[in-house]
Amino acid sequence: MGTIWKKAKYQLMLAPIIAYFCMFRSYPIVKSFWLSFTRWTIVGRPQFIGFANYRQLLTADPLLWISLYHNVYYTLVVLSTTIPVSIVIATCLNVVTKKRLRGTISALFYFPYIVPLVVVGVIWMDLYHPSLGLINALLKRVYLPPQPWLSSSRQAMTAISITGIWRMLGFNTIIYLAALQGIPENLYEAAVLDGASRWKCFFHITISLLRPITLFLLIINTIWAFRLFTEIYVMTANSGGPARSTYTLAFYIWKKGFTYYQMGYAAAISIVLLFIVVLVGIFQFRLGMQRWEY
Amino acid sequence: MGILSIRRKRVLTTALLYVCLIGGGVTVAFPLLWMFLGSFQPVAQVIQVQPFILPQSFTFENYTLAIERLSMYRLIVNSSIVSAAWVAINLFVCSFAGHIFSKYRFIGKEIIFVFMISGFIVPFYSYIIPLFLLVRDLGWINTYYGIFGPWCVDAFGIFLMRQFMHGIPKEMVESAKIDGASEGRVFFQIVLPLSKPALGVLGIFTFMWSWNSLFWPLIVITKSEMFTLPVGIATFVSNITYFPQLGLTFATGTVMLLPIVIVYLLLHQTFTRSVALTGLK
Repeated sequence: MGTIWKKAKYQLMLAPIIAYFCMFRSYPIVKSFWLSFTRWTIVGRPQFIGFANYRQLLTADPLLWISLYHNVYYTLVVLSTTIPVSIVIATCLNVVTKKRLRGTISALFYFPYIVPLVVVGVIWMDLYHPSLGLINALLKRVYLPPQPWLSSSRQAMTAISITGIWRMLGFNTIIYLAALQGIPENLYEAAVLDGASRWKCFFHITISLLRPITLFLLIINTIWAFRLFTEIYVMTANSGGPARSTYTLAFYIWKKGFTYYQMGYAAAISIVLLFIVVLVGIFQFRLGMQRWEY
Repeated sequence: MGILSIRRKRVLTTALLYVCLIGGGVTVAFPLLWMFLGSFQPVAQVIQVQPFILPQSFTFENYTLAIERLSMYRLIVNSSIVSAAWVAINLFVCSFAGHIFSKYRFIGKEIIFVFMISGFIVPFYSYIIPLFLLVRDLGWINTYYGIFGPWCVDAFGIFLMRQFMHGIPKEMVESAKIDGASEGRVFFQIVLPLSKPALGVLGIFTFMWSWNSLFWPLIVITKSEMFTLPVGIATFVSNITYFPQLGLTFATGTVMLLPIVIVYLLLHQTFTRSVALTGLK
């Protein structure tokens, strides 16, 4: 007994943790695959039906593609807005020399990111309210027409994307700020000595050096965007938006699995989500790594 | 442009920059201020939606209403218990595992580590259904264990602690062992105290994650007396129809936001530095 302990001491100490992972991660992941090949509604036993779920999902289910489209739309809107804007804000912040002031202003920008998603949903749901919300009140003040926002099938997803921008702007800014502060001053001095103008400095030095961070942020933001659920649940009162205009993949899994209890089908959706996330991740990574040559 | 001297131009530009930055920051933080102030106004006044007029009356009625109608006290207690247990277990287990991974070599170390990380990469929506079934079979539905059980040990925490503990010199551990200390003493009396910064960061992340999580508790808890704060708020909000009862939602939102803000203000430095370090959660 003593020799087993001596030889495998650390493996044994980690054994409970390994068992934990097997039980709460590996087993459910494997079982998810298995479940996706069955038809099951919690009562009774699951029936094995082969690829039928996938066939229906991929060929006869528009809601899957609509949900995917909403996820992609959200990702594009948030990324295309926050990445450039946060670079600009971070650059401006980098100019501020007083540490405390810089810290305070960046804390203001970062604040929305730490707000619990449920609270984000509640605040923005109220902001977007057609008659009682602040946004329409402000629009009326400047004589612009008030919008239906979350109650319109055309605007709802955009409204939620704007919430996403509000939330992620600070996060991206802080990351860029940290990166910018790592760029040594003498790089700029050398460039200026070589005769480069301020704008050229910015574009060629700063942007290139920020490329790895940008790749990181693109990947992180995308992964998070494909998890979009809480805001949808709260802001559309668990309905998925007018005419399903804010359905996302995660919300679809929730609906199918925990409202309609079609567990097998929901499992299939979740596997498709897994593939999508992995593919997108690989794609982004490849794309980013390709151009990183000095 | 020739009228303004170079210096004046620079001062002007800098002033403009500051104005824009501060203005931007305030605009971004404004919705939170709206919610906070609105929670203290009587419902009738919140309805009036005057964004730039200072509140005229101050009342706690939204909060008392929330406590009575939404059993907010119960929600807070549930959330607190879950978060406390989750953070405590997480800190202990992750630092323990991180220490082992960081300081010792043994067969299978790499494989085990990769195994844990791979569980982290898979999006949790992809295994949430079997996990739910497992938790149900364990009898953990509508219990506190059910909420934090499957999540309190995670690869992210282990990874974080391991990386930090790489910075603790191996000599310290080895000299303690030469002096006759057992593994337990080495861990508790040397490594842990030195890991306080990383424990702080991990603690914050885990606390935020546990306090804010909606999806899993929503699945696992069906009895309203076991609801955590996010579940309670989300359920309330999704059950009201047209009239949004702004005051009430503001009050509940502020209550949920408050601990996070306190933690944030107290540990602001740690926050931004830790985000720059990991940025994963």
